[in-house]
Amino acid sequence: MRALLRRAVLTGVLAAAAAPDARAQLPGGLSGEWRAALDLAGGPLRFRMTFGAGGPMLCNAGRCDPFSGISVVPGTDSVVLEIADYVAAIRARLTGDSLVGFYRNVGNRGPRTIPFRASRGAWPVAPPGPALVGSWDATFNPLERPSPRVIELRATALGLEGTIVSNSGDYGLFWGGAVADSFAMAHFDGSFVYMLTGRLDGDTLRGVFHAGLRTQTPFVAVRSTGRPHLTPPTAVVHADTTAPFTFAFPSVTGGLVTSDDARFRGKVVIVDIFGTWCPTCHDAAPALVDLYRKYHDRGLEIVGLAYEVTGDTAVDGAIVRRFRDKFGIPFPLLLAGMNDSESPGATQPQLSGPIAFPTAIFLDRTGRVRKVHAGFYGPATGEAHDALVRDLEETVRQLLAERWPG
Amino acid sequence: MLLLPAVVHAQAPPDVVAERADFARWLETAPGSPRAAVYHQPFADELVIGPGGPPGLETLPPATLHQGLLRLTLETADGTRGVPRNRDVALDARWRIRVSGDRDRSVVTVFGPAGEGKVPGWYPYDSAFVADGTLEPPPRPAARRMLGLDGIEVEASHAGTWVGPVAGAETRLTVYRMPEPGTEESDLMIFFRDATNDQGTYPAGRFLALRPLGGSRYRADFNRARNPFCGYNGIFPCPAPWPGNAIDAAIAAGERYARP
Repeated sequence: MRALLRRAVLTGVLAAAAAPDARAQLPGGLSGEWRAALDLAGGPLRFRMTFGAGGPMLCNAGRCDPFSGISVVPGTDSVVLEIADYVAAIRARLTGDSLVGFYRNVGNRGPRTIPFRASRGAWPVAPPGPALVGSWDATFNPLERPSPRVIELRATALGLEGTIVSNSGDYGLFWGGAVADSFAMAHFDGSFVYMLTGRLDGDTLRGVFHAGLRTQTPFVAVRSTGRPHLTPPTAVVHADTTAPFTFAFPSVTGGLVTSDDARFRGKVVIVDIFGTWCPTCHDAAPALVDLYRKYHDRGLEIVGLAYEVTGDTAVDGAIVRRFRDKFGIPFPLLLAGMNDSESPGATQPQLSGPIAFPTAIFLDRTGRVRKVHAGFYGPATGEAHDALVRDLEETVRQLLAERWPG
Repeated sequence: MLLLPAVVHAQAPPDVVAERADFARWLETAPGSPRAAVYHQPFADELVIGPGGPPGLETLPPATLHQGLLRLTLETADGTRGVPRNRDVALDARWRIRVSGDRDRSVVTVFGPAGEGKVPGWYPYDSAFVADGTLEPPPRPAARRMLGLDGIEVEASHAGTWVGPVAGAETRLTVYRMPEPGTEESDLMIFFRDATNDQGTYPAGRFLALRPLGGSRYRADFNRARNPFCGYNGIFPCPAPWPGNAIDAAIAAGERYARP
């Protein structure tokens, strides 16, 4: 689902507002943990920031990622924390022990601004009670345009953690807390501004999904019964299984890689359709690397087909190489196209149905499609993630056990 | 027409000040600012850019935009590449192209160096034009295609009628939920006309996004009323007024407009 969502557009407005990286000039005493919030129309979206030896970090539950830059607006106590992956920034003034300012990114209709504040210390840990914990079959927007989701709520040492899962993947890790029968949890990674708030009403969970400053989508949910509430990931994308699956795209390391290459002959192959802009694909990459390391010697090959933003080979190639290096990906990554809705369909004529990011296509030793798994349950989904990883591994083992007729 | 308020109530809140400053910078400097647009037209199969192209595009570097069965492509002297929707693609260092809208209703916008234009202006912030009201749901779900403030047609769903006090009178205004393509965000939007139109504000009317207050309560802060893109650049189409959304009073708040 996140794959379908926005990418901010570079304007240079924010970059121009601050001096180049000037960590040495920072106002003193920023170091330590900060409890931060974006003030959405529906209430505060809480998250953590830390300033330490590694520079400023934006934290979502226990996972922290560095801001891409920090600078001081000359002659002021204002700092600019840049989030380059999403061309966004937090600009705030240090007043005493508080940072107060705005988070900004830019869309095609203009800049978006959300009030931001932070103060020293940590948010209280407020885990949910057993009545809230578990899987909930939710219906978003039940009155206008009903669509299914699954909400996962867990009690952890950090409080409340969970996620939202749609037919095409999860929304990433959410963190928050609960008070009695009410809860709030959020996912803010610098681009996606999501918050889920709700309250137990008898056996029904009712609440609101917040996106950006003022979008609010109501939901109702009941406890998952075990019956499928979402379209199964293997039923989203369909494939022609009558002929070997073929591909031929340029590699990010140069040269053309095709399904006819000797390295794929007689092998079990996972074709991974992904994009570096897709957070769920970041969640899936480590699992694929693990599979490759474990089963490559026994005949598994993996190839990643990247659908990127610009369509410019030089630009997209550099971004995909960064992705490769970040996850230590040992298998080939190819530049297959662009991440608009038309490109994957145009370059993969053997697939039908809406193509999700990521999608894993399992080929047997004859090169025919045996399974297509759309989306990926990231670590935020807890047991669903573990079960999926086990399922993917079992598929690989079964296919490896088949003999190659050649 | 009612008289303008004699007293301006309260200073602009910091978020309003920040929003206005950001917006003015964006309008003046952003490569995708409506002020920088030189062409904005629906297109079906092919658009020739450069010599032989439509007025406004004849002097650009030669390129051809194709809409095939499955994908959009841009053919230039350097080869053919795909074009994503709703994102800008550079033709060269000066010119950018964006394809918006659904596949069967594609719209092409071409941007050049930021054009000259007036600095946007606003009425002084006036808390008297901040109105809290109730959103009454529509009698039945309904969707219709309509132009957003950027001149792009979207499928909007009827969200109901906002009822609240505006300039001393209970006012009913039609509200549509207008999606932002490619995101999970949408705005509960009102396109309204009032007595200031062509007397200090844009003649065709202005847009206002409601801010949720919880439950069925929503705030209409007319200090945040903004012009459609056609107010900055005549190449953008203007939405037709929404029936029933004409306010008799002068809403001397939000974005202003001065005729060129």
